[in-house]
Amino acid sequence: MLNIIHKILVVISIYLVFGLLFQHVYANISEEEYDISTDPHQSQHGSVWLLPDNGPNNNQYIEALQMQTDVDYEITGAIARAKVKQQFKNSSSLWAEGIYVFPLPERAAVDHFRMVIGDRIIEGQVKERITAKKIYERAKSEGKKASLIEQQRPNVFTTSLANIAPGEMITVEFEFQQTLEYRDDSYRLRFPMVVGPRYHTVKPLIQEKSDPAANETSVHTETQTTKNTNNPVRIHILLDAGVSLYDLNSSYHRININQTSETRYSISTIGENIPSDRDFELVWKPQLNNKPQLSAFNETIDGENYTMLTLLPPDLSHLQQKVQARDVIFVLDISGSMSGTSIDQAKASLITALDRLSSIDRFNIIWFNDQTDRLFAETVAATTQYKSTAKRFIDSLEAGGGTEMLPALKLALSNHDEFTRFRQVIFLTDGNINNEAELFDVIDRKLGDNRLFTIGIGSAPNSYFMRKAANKGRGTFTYIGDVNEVQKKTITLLKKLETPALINIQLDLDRDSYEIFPNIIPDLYAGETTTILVKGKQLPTSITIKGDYGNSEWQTGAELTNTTQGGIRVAWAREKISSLMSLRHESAAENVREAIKQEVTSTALQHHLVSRYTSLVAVDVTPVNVTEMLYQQRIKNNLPHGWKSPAVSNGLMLAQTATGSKFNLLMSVILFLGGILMYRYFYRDALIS
Amino acid sequence: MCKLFNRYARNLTTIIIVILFSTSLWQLASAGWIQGKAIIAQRLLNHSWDKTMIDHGKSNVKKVKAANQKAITHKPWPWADTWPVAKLIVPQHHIEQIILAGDSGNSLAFGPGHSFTSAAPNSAGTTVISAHRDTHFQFLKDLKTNEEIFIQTADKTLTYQVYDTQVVDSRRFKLQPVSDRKTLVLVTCYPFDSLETGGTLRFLVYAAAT
Repeated sequence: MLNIIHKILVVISIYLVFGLLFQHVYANISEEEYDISTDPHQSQHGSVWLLPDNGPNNNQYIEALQMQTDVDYEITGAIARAKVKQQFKNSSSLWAEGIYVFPLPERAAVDHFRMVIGDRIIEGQVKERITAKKIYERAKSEGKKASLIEQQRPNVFTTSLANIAPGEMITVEFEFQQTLEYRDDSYRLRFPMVVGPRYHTVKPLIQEKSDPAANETSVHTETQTTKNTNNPVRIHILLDAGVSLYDLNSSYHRININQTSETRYSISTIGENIPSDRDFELVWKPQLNNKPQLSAFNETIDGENYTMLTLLPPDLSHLQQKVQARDVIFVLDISGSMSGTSIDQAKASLITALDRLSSIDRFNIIWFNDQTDRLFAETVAATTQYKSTAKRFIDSLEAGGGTEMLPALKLALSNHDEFTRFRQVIFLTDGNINNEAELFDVIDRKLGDNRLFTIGIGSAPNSYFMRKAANKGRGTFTYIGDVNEVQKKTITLLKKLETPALINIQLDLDRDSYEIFPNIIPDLYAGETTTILVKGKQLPTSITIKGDYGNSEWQTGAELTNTTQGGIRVAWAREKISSLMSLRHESAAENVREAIKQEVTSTALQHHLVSRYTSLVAVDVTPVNVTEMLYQQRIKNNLPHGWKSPAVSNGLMLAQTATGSKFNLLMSVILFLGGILMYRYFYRDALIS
Repeated sequence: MCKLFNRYARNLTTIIIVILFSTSLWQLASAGWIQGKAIIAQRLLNHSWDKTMIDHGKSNVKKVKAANQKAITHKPWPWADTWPVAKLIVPQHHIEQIILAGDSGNSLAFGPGHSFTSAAPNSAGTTVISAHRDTHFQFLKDLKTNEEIFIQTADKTLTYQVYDTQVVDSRRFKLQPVSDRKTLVLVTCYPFDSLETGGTLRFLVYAAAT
């Protein structure tokens, strides 16, 4: 009996040993999965990604070698127009399909592009969307190369290129334009430059122990090599700020600044090879005065004048002396559709807003569902006492009932007092209404000197209504989608509302002979700019703009002289399209929508812009014989049919280079010894019994 | 009862012993198969490489376009899915190996493989050649800086000099190619004496054409 137990134990232990060994092997095999990101669309810099023909079937891309990048910027006020020229090389030994990926800065759109691959030239043309699609499909069916310029992610410029020979050079040239944001009293220009690590800079995981001094020298030489092999990026910028500058600097790179006139600068990066491990960033701060400033730029194309007027606020210390007391009217939607998190967000937002009111301000709260009422009979001073009364009231509110917005809107806009104070109406709602037209009409008629700001609450507010209402009400629309954002977004809005710099802005131009966008000129607030774009045949030599600065009227004129730099026409056309698109709404009549579509399409085609109705299509303009020759050459060079290389061999990723032969040998020996051992047990048992 | 159990256990033990011995033999054969394939294939490859070289000589006479490469490749055996592209010669370590097209498992069983996604051997750019650490590229661990490596292609033989070695994690590391200089990167698994097959570490040898 003891023997049997002994034998069973031996068997179990042998099984255990093998079990563990096998587990060890399998655990290692499962670790084999590679997690290198080879998704071109995640690329953070301008790059060409190659998909080798006869390559793996799981679409694994390898990155083409970047040779050189030249960037020419022309900056006019807030408009930055860039010409980018990039060169790449297919460094593999295979024919490949490729895609070019370039992450665009925010609010930038590509309007021109051209690609040269070997002898082929591919040029981008703006066509009506349907025509573009037709051209693309026809070219495809004829076996020619063409591609639609698509926006894969918002702000990623992507285009595909076909038939790139081994070692062939690819040149991509394109132009994009962006409107720079004015924030923290400065403009910021960013150009993405970050590239992947070069192998010389990667440190070995296992390093032989050596004295630190020797290590340092080797690191140094590696940096040297990196510099030589790195892809050079050259950036040249012509800046016309329109106003004098207080500061102009590059955040991370050494630059050369050459001032050519009072407001103009020529800037270039220093040296052939500039560090490409960070984005290039240029920051400039306009010199703010004690009054608002106006800058004007004019561009004349085909007998048409395009003018951009930009208003800069005065500096904050001067502005604060001028700031008037305000009346702030809060309108809160407590209808049934607001119940749940929406009403909580709205309440939180309102309480944050109350806290920011200063004691010279006055306020009131209007609430509505199918009824309308206000907290105080008249606007009251924002004292601590009134504020706490208001807060207690807000806490007690609960959502329920229908939505009747009209009486609330009328009540908020009607004002029995004289307009001695700047009156701001802040509307918190999910915009769940069905009589939009009627509401817009009330805003148009009753707005007076009120300003209407809308705050969209909830997961799906009617943002069309709220944006347009704010637009008509000369205010802004703020969307709060998340409870966590309430505090931040409300404070941002209120901070702005505290410091109006110039209101009731008017331009002395006849609206019948000029196309002016935006239609209603928005007020100027501290830390912001206001831009007006004008198109007309005959422009006066100077233009006058006026508005209310504090209690006094302010007026200034600007000479209209032509700039040598472009971009104003494109900016004007884009502003026109966006203004047209804001009128377009699903509930609008069919003929209205059709008219908008036609107007947008013709504007986009005329000014070479990509819009909702137009696309940029890449057309191969290479003479046919070159294409044919390439095609034939390609056939000869093809790899054997049916060849597939596995995923691991791709992307200059390293192949799997271990065999199990040693393991096999070891297993063989272990198993043999195990067998001998067991045989001996068995044999001894046989002798005993 | 006890006897019955005893007999049952004895039968079981017999079966296990048979399994152990036969698995042992099978493992031995597998190891031999891998090593054998690696050695015998190189013989056959040498033969087809010689034919490739002869053809290249002829094609020069006939002035067949150099671009037409497929015509001058010879498969080492009829069902092969790879063909020789170059010859690797390292005199100090008595190495003469035929480099095959592609670095997938089916090429690497027979010889070092050239990665399609890298530059062609003896052309400007980074050429990547991989092989198994326990067969063809076992010698990499003994390769020292400044030692010479010769690469023979159909049209020329170039000398490369080792300038660096590196151990990398293949999950995180991506080789960045150069474009201007002729650079050779030899790749094999690391550590050399490990029994694991799915390891992620790689040993790289960098060499530049002189």
